[in-house]
Amino acid sequence: MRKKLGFLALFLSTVFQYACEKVIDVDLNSAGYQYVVEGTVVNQADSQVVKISRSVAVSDASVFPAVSGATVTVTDDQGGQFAFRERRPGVYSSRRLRGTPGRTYTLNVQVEGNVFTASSRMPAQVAIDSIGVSMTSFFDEEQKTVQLLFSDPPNRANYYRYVLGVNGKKSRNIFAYNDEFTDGRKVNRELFDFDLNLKTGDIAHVEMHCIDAVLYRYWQGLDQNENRGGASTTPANPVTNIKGGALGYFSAHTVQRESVVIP
Amino acid sequence: MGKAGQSYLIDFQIRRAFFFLLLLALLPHLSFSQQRFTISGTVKDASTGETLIGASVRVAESEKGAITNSYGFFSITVPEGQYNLQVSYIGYQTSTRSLNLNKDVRLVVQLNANAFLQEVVVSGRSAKEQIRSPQMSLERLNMENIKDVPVLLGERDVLKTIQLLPGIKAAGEGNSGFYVRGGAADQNLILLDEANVYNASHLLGFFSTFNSDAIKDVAVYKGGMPAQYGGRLASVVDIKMNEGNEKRYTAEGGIGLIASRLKVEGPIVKEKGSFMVSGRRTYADLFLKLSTDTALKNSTLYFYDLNAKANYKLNDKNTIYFSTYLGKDILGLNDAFRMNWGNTTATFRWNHLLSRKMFSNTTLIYSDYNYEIENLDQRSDFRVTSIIRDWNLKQDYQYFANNHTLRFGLNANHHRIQPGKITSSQKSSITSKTVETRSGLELAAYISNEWNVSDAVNLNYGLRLSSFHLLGPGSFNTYSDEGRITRTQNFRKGEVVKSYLNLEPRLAVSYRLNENTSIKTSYTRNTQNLHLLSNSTSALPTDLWIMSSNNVKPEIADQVALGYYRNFNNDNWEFSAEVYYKDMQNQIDYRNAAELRANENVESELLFGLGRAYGIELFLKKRYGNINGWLGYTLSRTERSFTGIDNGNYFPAKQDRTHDISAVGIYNLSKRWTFSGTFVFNTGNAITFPSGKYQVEGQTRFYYTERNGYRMPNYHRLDLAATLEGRPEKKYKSSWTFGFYNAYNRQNAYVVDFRDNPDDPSKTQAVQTALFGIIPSVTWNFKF
Repeated sequence: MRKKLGFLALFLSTVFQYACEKVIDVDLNSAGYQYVVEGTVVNQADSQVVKISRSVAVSDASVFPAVSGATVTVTDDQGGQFAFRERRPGVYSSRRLRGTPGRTYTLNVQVEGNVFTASSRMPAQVAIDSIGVSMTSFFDEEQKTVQLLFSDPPNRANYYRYVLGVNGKKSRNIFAYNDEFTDGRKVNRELFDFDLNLKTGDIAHVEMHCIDAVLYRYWQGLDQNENRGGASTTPANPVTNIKGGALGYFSAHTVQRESVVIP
Repeated sequence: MGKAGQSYLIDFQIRRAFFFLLLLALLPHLSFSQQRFTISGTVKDASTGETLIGASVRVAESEKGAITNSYGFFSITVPEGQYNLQVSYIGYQTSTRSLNLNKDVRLVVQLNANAFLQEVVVSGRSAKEQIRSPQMSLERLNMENIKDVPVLLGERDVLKTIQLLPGIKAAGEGNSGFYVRGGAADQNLILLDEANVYNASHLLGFFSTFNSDAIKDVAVYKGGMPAQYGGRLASVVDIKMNEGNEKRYTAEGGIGLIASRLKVEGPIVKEKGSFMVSGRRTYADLFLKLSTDTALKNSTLYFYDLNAKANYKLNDKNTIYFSTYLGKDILGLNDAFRMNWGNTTATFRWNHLLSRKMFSNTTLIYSDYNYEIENLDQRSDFRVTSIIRDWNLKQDYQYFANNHTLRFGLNANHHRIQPGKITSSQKSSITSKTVETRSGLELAAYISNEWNVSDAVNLNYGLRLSSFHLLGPGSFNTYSDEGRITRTQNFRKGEVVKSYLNLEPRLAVSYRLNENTSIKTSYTRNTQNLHLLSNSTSALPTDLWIMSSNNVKPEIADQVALGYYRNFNNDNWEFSAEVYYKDMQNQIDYRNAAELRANENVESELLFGLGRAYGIELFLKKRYGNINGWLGYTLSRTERSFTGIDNGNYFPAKQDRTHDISAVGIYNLSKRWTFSGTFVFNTGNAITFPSGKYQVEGQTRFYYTERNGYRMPNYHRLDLAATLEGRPEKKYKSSWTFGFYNAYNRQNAYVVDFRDNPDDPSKTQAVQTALFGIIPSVTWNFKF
């Protein structure tokens, strides 16, 4: 659907053929910095990472200061407690923790007098059945799109996020879906990114995450702010599960990684 | 609807009607004194027999007068005597006839179009009427007279022309959506021959559904709405279709860059009935056929409109009308994806003269809007359908008494909304799903009285009692403030789930300081029970209408306005200034990342808050002469407040534009050449820009603080057009219109995005996208 709408937008802009871009000066107020916490617990690795950084003004260089010296712990609902150590500035990890589907994990971050907490429950894993590439001809050009097939488990709400990368470069697109319209079906999911012009021989890497409902909403909210500055939904900070006033998220999710060579 | 529910409602309605009849009986000043007689009749165009709406009928000797109603009818009662009756209408020669009034008379006044006096575009109301009438905040457009205003791609469009009036703002570049006095786009009541048009746009808003060939008259109420109108907060746009030439058959049409039009009209029985059929089709997709790309070649993108109307005069006292509209947009991508959407309306009306003073109008209206999306891809095929359907019955009376014009009536409107039904094959990855259909009944009773208190003072007071009933069947959830389900109730068919009752007082007063100057004031309350959910600014065909419910309360607006009106230079110039303040309750916004499509819990995604809007509108217009036109200026503010946004502080609504200027000029160089231009300037829309940036998963994302705390760049644009009339001696008339939209190629920002600078990815830049540069157009029009 999203791909179709993407085509529709392109189609209309071609019909009108007058769209024109220009860089402009905008004088933005600068808010004070915010802490940004990015924490994940996954089922595929023994190493889990929590990153802490700061926001900067829009006019500044996109260099985001690492926040060091935090106390980071994750507990699970089975009584497990894992202390995270700062391995690089702002990057905290634990080498003892492997996530288990069905468990709820709670993050606690203490930094510079602030306390940030968040909980996330890791859903059961849903496996990718196969990965392929679909082709659509558009404006005399072959548009190649990475495609996943999997079976959605029936009669329960599932939330998915996909991460797409090509030759090591990550897509900026946020692919977050629920199964509102696909419950219990064999799902064919196309990961469509106009900016990634897939060519024969490219290697596409795909991750499928099973995420919880709150995180789904978070990624949807983040996605809503993308590339729609003036014409669509009013942008806003996505609703995060982190309490205490930090940006970012804490997600316990399953991961499956696959790759495909573009034919 | 269940039998029990129905009888309950009918009973309720009858009691209410009695209440109003009682009120009517108690109204003062309806007594008859000496020997008085009534002059009533119809005003028509002498060449086509079309009735003229809003024509001024005056008794020269007595200051008594009337304005023809929507059916060209008027009625004046004066004492026995010798009178001169003056009938005037913009663009027509004034007709004067003497009457020796010793009995009631019934007239048909035929006016000849004025070939020499070119009058200005917005001027359905006569200059004197503008001063005298208590009605303020009203503009009338006469279609014959707006043909010279330049437009996008040469397609005349009433919804775009009204955007050039003060207080009315375009929803976006080239968009037929509009905002009136701080209201949202869904707060405009758009009526086509009394039928509600739910989606008045084609092609995502670039064109309106109103083919100007088929339209006779447009009245726009920005405030002070008379009591017969209700159901939307911000404005009423009352559009009437042409009735057809009752004297001879004619055909006219036009061929333009993107669309062609044809209209045929003529008598059914000479001077007794007439018909009109008008069609328009765009062919933007014909260019696609030239493409070598097979995907594009097999794509479709067009829309069409079909309007038809017929009327028949059964006898002196009874006339019936039937009008219908059918429009559709069709889009198809290479047999993989199809989408179509459109409105259908039908109106059947019976005008009945109960007496020389009492005019009755009974109307049955059908209105339907639907869309259908089909994905034909084998692995994810699906089909989505959605329908809104209204059946609406109206009974309206007008009673013309001495110094009083009374209007009262009843209205019952049944709505049915099917928000979305998804069907798919077994093999598809998409499941079938149906969001429950909702039904509701809007009942209203109204009464108003326009009272000429004295030569100087005119008063229009009225009351509208509106009720809304959400009806079963279905399961209805109640949500907490956080959007969680707290209760689920099941209702049987016809059971009332929730009712709302609202009293809407309407008051308008004019005070004439002298023949050329008046001041007016008005107070209006409006309520709205149908709400459009849309979190984008362009009009998407899939935008969802919902009804008031146990979670969604009716929207309410109270507006007060004060105006000053002055004509000078023999009524050639007209000036007006109006200030208004509007207070709005139960306004709707959305939670972050709200899902509005096919969501049975869509009401849990809504936030409710307050709105306020205020401003001043200045308007100067030159009515006659080789050079005419107008200048409008609006200074305004419109704000919203929601508990969950910016700590409940008022923030600017996205349609808040501080300054808004529009200028229209028309120059008749010779009998054959006419030049015209429009210029618009407005402060950029209020917009939310980021106040910081941060990194998530290695990507730069933005951080937002104040809602709508920034402005888009200022918008300005000049449009030019020239019309060359064909040589008049030929058997048919033809004309060429050449136009330039955005003549100096201003790059107006449609969207502003923040993204990495491609030359230095560590820096962020703001990039604006402009939709249209300069766009030329040419149209050839003909008439037999």
